[in-house]
Amino acid sequence: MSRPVWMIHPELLIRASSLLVPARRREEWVREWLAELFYAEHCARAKAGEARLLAFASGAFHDAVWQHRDFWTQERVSRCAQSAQFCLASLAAAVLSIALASGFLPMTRSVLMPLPYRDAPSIVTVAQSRTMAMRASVPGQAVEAWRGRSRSLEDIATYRWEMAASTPTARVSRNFFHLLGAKTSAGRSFERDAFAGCTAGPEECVVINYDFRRGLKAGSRVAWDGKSYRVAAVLERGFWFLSPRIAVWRIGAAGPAEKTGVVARMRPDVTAKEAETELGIILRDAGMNDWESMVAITGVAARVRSVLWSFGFGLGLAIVIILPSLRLRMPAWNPRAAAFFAAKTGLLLGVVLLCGIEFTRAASITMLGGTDALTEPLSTWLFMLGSMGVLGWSIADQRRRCRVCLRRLGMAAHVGCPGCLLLNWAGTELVCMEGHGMLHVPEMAACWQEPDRWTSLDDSWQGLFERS
Amino acid sequence: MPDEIKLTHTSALILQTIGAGYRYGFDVMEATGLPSGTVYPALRRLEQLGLIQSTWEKESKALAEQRPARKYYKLTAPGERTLAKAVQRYPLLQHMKGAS
Repeated sequence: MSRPVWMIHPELLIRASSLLVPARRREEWVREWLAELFYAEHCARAKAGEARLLAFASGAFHDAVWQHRDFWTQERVSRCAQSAQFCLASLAAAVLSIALASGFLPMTRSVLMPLPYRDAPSIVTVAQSRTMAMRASVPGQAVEAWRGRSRSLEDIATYRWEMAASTPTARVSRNFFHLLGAKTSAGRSFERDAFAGCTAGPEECVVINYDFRRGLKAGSRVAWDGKSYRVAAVLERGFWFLSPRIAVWRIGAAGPAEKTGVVARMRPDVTAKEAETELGIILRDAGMNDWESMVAITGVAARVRSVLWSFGFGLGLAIVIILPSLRLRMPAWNPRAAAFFAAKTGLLLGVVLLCGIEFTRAASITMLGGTDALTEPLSTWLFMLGSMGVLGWSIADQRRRCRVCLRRLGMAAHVGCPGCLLLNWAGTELVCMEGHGMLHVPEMAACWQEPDRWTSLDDSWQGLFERS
Repeated sequence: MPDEIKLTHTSALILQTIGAGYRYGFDVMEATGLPSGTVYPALRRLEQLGLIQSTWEKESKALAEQRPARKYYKLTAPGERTLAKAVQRYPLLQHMKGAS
């Protein structure tokens, strides 16, 4: 029977809705709705036409949803939730949610993508090195001494975070952007004295990131925290330095006594060790003592990626701590179980790592360096604790799964008397809902016996596990 | 099946409509004025409760009349008993007229 043109959309709606109907009922469901549509069309032709048919067909969606709800009984939901696929799908959904919530992992991308500087490997940060490998800011007078006398550095600039403001801001020296080889949104390079006209007061300049208050152009004014600034330039898209959260760069050099962060471009033929030695000598010549003359030079790329090393260290430590108990706690292995365990643990660690980088500001804190000695190791320890937690959970979850189908075991039953452990076995028995076997977990693990004992059930038991 | 099934007014109306001789979904919709998104799920539920029973019309008969086969619904014995109780509970249902 051929259908008229105005039946196409209602029929499409019915067929699309049918995807929600359980497969075993779908054919009959579609047959009934299309038959009903035929009678509705006969009636509608005389009345309101296609709109009425569409209204009629929209009921198919409600009906399909109702069928679906009816399909997902409590038993079916619990069976589904026990499956290995559900576990992996939930974790994958968690990773996807983190990606969506964070705006497609901006911090992670910043850490992994190439740095937006000209000849990035030669860009380094310079700090006074103190006890426990802490990076410390450098006084402005030391920077001036290096600027005048250093032969290993091509150029040197200063930066200082001003995180107390409502907008995360940095104060940088005039040659900062020139040193990094940054470009404006129009594609022009920064000259060394590009901000010569910028002075404190009403003419104080700022350089803003591309995504900060879209529409602002060089020459316009911007205000926050009750102060007004002239926008000297808008940076090219994707520019960032150490912390992707800095959106505004105020132009202003550090005072002689003021502590500041230092960024430099090394000459191509100079090593970091040589540069450290030379800068230390310059400080001693300027009258600083041996303690103050200890200098540490770190590549910016290495510093940015140190967040991954921190997390790697945390993960390694977590594995080392949990390894001794692994032999006792893991069930017998088979390739499918091993693949599931690897995928589950990988996804769990991915969740912890992405949460750490995107939401705890760990990357930002780590990269800020020299401003806070506590937060960097704290973020690493937090990740280590998170890694231990997910590794522990992953192993415990694996223990409680069927050795055949990897479903979570259920119907826990306590057997025996916990006070009679000397002569009798006491513990908990768990059963695979598909009837593959039974797990015996002793109340107290003894060194002479296996902690868990798995008993396979043959086909003669299947009658007990048939689905209703 | 439980002895006492308490129906909503809408379900009772649909049950009464089928009892009155309106036998397929669209027919029930036209008689009650309820939208399709209410009538069809209600028919599924009533069938699940055993109050109505569905049967497909013979294909040969539908083909002879050049139309698709209909799925017809009719009251079961428990459905008739439940309807009688529902009519006592919702007296306005008594005003529902039978199909021509």
